[in-house]
Amino acid sequence: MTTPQFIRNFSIIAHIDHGKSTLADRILQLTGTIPERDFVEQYLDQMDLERERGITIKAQAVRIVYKARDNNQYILNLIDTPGHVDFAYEVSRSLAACEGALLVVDATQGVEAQTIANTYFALENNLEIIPIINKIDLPNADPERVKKEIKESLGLDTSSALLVSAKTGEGVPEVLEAIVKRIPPPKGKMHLPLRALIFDSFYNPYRGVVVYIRVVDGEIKEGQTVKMMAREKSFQVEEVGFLAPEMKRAGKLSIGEVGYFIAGIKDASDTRVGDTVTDGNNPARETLPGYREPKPMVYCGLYPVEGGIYEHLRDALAKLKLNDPSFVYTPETSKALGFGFRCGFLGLLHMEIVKERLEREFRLELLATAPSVAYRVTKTSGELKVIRNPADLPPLNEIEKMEEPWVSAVVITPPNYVGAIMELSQERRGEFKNMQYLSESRVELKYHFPLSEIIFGYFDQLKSRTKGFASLDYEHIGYQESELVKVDILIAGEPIDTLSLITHRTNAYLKGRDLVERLRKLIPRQLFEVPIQAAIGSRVIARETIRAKKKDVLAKCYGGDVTRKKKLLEKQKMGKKKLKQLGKVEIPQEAFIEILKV
Amino acid sequence: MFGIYIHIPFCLKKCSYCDFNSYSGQEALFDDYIESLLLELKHYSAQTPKVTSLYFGGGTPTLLSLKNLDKIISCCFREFNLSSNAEISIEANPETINGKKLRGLKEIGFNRLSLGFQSLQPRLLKILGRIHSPRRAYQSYEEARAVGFKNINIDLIYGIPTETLDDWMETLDLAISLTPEHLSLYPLTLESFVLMAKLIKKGEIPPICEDEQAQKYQLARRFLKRKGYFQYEISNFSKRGKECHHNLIYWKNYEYLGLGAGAHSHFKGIRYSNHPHPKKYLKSLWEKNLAIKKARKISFQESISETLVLGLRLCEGIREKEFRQRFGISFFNKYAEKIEGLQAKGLLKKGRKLELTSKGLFLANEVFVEFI
Repeated sequence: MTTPQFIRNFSIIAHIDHGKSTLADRILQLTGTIPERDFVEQYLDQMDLERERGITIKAQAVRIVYKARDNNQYILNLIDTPGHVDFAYEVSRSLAACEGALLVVDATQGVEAQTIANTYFALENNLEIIPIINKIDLPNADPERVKKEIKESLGLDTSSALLVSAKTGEGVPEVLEAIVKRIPPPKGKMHLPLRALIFDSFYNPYRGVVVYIRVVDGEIKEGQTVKMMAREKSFQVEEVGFLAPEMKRAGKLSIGEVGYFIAGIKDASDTRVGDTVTDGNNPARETLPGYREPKPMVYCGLYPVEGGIYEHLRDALAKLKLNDPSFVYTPETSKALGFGFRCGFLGLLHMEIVKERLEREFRLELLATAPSVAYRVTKTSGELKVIRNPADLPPLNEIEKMEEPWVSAVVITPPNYVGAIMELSQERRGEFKNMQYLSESRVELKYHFPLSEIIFGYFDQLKSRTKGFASLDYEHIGYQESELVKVDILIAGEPIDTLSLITHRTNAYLKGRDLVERLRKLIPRQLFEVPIQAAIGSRVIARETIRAKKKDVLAKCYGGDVTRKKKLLEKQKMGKKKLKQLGKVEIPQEAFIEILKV
Repeated sequence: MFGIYIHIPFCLKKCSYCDFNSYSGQEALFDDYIESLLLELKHYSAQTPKVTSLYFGGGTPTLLSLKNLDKIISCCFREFNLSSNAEISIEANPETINGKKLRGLKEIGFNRLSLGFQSLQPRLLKILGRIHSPRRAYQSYEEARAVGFKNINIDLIYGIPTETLDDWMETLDLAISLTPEHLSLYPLTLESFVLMAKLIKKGEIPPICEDEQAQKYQLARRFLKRKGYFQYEISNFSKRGKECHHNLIYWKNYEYLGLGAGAHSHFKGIRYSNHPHPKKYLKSLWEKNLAIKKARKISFQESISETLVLGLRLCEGIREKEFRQRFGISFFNKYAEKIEGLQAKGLLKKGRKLELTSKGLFLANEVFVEFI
């Protein structure tokens, strides 16, 4: 065990692509934590998906042994946080396990939306923040401007900001010294009952759940019975150790230390991020602050593309949930798609990640319906209902009021795009809150938005209208009453449940129109005329018609070439086999998948 | 019924819509090609049942000299048992025939002439890339009558880009005023590799409208019925008793020999096809006495399926009894569910026989795929 005096727990926070992973790589190399032969870039992002997308999805921790210039040996625990707004809660819990944070800002870009959001999380957790201006080797680096922005936007003292090039390694030794000198050692009381914060966990098929913790008070050792305080479940600890970064058995962990324990836990839902681990026989009186049940914000239906793999999908979801307790799923049935699941996610990225992991790790071919947020409906009977699938909305006459989730958003942009962003935000029902110049070249805009407006393409639009220069971050601020309507889509007179959508009254016509036009292009001609309608209740707000197919014939059987004719028919038949039924209408598989995405 | 098809893969000029196996500028090959054809004919000598139809198609068979055509036809008479009332047809491009040539054709034994009019609108003939004029078309018809052809077919194409309903009905009316025994009406259909398809893709020619083709088809059917022509196949109309015997062999799924480059045969339970390119065909024949590129034995199942798919093209449909005699099973039983489904869609009629409905004719593939 190391005395707390020589422990430093820290995290690195940054906007995407500002060099967080590169700085971590350099620190690991410089301290010899990772042998040169084992080194790969983005070392801490172990999932293929993380490397491909250049983002961190799961938190990671690594124990670094560092001999400082004062000749003392320090244990530095680097806790790597996820880097996306979907995982804001996980970020805040990882930060809660630290005493300090390195705030990395790109010297050529300056402060971005996530820089601000992450810094606020760090400040909320009373972390010592060390500003680091990265990429100073680039010719267009402007550290002075960036320092000014950090000061203006975050109120941080930048006089001792470090100038670094994580790429070349310049300034990195000074970073290590600053960690030791400026970040306070962990505080905690040895004589108090064990309290440790869970900041992540993962499921190992052989050993059960591996729980990542930071000990705050007391100690945790093998053989001990521990209790998850929020979850109210107890387990016997089998193994305790450090993350170096691979698991290294240590027998026990005490105040300020970061590591893992294994306790025969079969379900990751029992080890929720943010929960407090305490001594089963001598429990602490109070949990550590800040625990929250994970709250899915975005929902979609997941269905097998081919029938018959429903069971397989169910098993895969259960297995994935062991690893990722933050997504939820319940069985649902769709007329168009058959048996599937309604799944809830922390956000769109989380949804994409789960879908991709299901497809990669379980070799499933999945169809995801258009994502939707969770709406709250108060019925005239007084009953409160949460609507996760637009098809479940009660009839209009039973609805007293409807509410939708809102977010508070920060957009940071060069000043010349302010007009474009305001226009876009207006279109997206944004409520303007505040505007502030961070420097001559950067403006911060604050808006409130309905979450659904952000989900459906706001970010893409923002990027395209500002040529990629604006950045966005947001946080949830709860539900607000809203004039919402359900738009149903009818194909050949039949409502298609999976295509229903809930939208603000002012958007209903445009969305209905758009959907109907896209469907007209996707649905091939049938033997009969197919009307495609968008309707609110019984009122049709948009209509397109697909005229009946009138010709499908091979004109001539030339010179007795029956073989070629047969080939053409066989090809046509193969296509027919792949047709999917949407109401009365037959649609090729590819078009079907496209349709359900809209 | 047994037919022999002879393919002449040469044209003066390739038409812009044509995807057939034909080549222009190959005049130097003509004589060698005839010699090869004769070799191929002799190879099958006396192996066939009584031949009831001999059909010269192309390309443009009338591009060959009378002497060359005579060589082939004489060879057929020598080597095969040709029925005394056999139908002996030749396809002709109006531009390649005159009174003298037609008289010669009649003399060497042809008794049926198929004239490739395609259209009688100068503008549309130009779009099709045809070399003849409407005037030349009428003349060739009159000349054929004058030399004594009593069985003449006219080929027409509809749904040509820019063609109006009036264009089409006028063409049809003009063609009928000549009182041919037989009419073949084809909706213009383009393979992606033909010149016209490329021009459409580039936007130089408006695209084909299939809905309009369907409309023109239905108009033509009604019009021809009124004029005393009866429809016996999806694309074919004739005076009573003047159906094309040769094509009936294909549609009834009987056997035939196809000779020449790229020709197809259905012989002794096997489907064959020859090398399509004339040079390859020549070479193969000189070396091996045969030019077969592909051969495939037709299984019992395939034979049933082919019989249905081909037979349903005929307006008389397929007789349950005839089918049972031929295959020993009832298609009503075998395809009960599919037939019911197609009936429900209004594409198929069922009585003692199975036939396409009026709606089903132009949507025939929807039906055929169920039996493939």
